[in-house]
Amino acid sequence: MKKEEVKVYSLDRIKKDIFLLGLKSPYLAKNSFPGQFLHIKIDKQSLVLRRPLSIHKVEKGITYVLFKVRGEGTRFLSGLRKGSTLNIIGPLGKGFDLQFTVYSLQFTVILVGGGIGVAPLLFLAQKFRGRKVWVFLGAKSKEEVLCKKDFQELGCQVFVATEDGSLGFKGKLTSLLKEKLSIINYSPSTKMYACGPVDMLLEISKILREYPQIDCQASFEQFMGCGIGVCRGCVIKTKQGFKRVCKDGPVFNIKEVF
Amino acid sequence: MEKSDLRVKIKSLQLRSPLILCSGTAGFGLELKPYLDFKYVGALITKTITLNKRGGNPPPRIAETSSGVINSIGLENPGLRGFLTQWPEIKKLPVQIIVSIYGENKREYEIIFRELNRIKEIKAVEVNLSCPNLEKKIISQDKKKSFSLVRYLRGLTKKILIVKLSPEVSDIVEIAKSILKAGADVLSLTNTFSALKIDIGKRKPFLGNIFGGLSGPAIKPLVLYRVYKVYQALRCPIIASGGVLNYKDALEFILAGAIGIGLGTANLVEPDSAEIIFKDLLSYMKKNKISSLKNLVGNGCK
Ligand SMILES: Cc1cc2nc3c(=O)[nH]c(=O)nc-3n(C[C@H](O)[C@H](O)[C@H](O)COP(=O)(O)OP(=O)(O)OC[C@H]3O[C@@H](n4cnc5c(N)ncnc54)[C@H](O)[C@@H]3O)c2cc1C
Ligand SMILES: Cc1cc2nc3c(=O)[nH]c(=O)nc-3n(C[C@H](O)[C@H](O)[C@H](O)COP(=O)(O)O)c2cc1C
Ligand code: FES
Repeated sequence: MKKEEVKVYSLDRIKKDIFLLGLKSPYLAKNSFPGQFLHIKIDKQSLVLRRPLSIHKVEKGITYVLFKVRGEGTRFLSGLRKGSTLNIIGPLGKGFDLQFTVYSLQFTVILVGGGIGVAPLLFLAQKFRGRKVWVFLGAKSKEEVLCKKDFQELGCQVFVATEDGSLGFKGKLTSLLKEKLSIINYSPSTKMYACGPVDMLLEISKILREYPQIDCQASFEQFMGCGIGVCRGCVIKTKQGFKRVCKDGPVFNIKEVF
Repeated sequence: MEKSDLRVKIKSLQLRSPLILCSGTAGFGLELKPYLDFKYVGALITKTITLNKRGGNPPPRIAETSSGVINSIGLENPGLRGFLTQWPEIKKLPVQIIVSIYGENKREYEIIFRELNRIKEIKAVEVNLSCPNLEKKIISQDKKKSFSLVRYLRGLTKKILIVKLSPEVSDIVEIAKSILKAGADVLSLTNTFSALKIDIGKRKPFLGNIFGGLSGPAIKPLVLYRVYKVYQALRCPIIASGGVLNYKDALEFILAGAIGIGLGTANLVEPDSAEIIFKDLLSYMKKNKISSLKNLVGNGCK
């Protein structure tokens, strides 16, 4: 991890309030790992702190982040121009643990992304190319479903849940997950990776109580200060006390947290 | 051409730079190693340590406001023993380490000093009498209590004694004066201001601990005012901390009377802020033909 000035390679509006930002940095492209994040400085005086965004994918030497406009910081990013520079610290944090999965083909992989939580999962799916991967995507409506095609192009089997039923299963993503887990013949060595709202992660941890053989790693969010482990501002409560999302995470085994 | 010199001396402490990393924003320095060249740092003040390990406050602990940050870390730290275990590692950092401490009572301070006194590399200790993130009342807001505590602490150590004050008092000069009289060598001005943010969506306070301490550019003029007042009245050594993000901010504090410039929030944003500010200060001095930074201290005080 290091701090560098990075050029904006591309910025595309994917949905009404979702943007895909491409960054030109050989360093980031080479060193980034799924589940890690970038800490991005917003060049605006009133906004003091950096903004954490997950690494969405790395393609042809370009590192991408996928973000939703929520407040002033992300609005600033959505107005960037190609060729402008951003001050970035990264890649940061402990990513997903792929040690077993990448080398052993027996493992079935399940990815669960709620809303913008899908962001770090595409990078993960890139690493699983050519394997059996099930992806569960959830959104409010059809218009808000993200990256479905990207996952399909990587050969993943995609299941979608929308709250209004405009695409796929009608209802909560976790309800769909529960239903599928009970009928599909998952292998006893299934690995699950999840990212999304904390309520969704809690729900997943409850579902998994019935499937103790499924190991699940989840990416958590917290308001951050430094992003590099110094200030202890970004902790979440785990069974072993407070842990820093920026340094001990953002990926934790779901059992550590709930 | 004459060489510009950024060295400063705070009491007997010779520092190669006036830039000091503030307590709580640099940890014990270890995480900063990949980002920061310590040769630009005068001293690093550790996260405040307490006798016993503390878990800190419930999250969220960080909230951003306009030009400021509210934190409610709550002195999470591994305790004196945890610090001592890490000391062999910390000691290797190429920077002067000042240890920040907080005790619940005199006995705790006694134990802490007994251990720290044994470590000769530690030349100075900063006593945090001003953390707003504790349930107890802030000691440096009570003139009598802080006088008697500092006088007691003075008797416990020969090291340079720095006392960190709260800005939230009706007359900071009075408090500063009494703390110096009690035997403090240096004043650290100031800690954060008590603050609140409310989440209008959830209709409840944003921080897990409800209240926190405000730092960053938002407090700079307020702290600058206090540094000026204290320096003008007492001409004592001051380490200032309040919203310094760049060399211009640092110069304002130097002109107001600070000899040490604390970087707090700046470290959270730019882990190498000390390097950036040092270089900018140096070029400012060269451009203006100022040979030594010492000559500027308090120059803006009328
Ligand atoms: C490890 C990590 C990875 C993330 N990855 C992504 C991603 O890939 N795509 C994406 O769209 N969002 C992601 N987020 C959330 C993203 O950081 C926030 O949406 C963003 O910081 C909002 O900034 P803002 O100025 O637009 O909003 P504001 O609400 O105005 O921000 C105010 C402050 O709150 C912080 N903040 C607000 N929401 C969050 C949040 N959910 N998590 C942490 N801090 C927050 C901001 O950083 C800022 O300091 C991630 C968060 C974390 C912790
Ligand atoms: C995240 C954070 C943690 C802090 N922790 C401590 C602490 O443990 N002890 C202390 O004396 N001051 C602590 N402070 C206060 C800073 O040392 C500094 O005095 C204050 O933030 C004002 O300076 P700044 O505006 O440059 O940040 C903390 C500040 C922040 C932002
Ligand atoms: S944000 Fe500072 S420790 Fe994680």
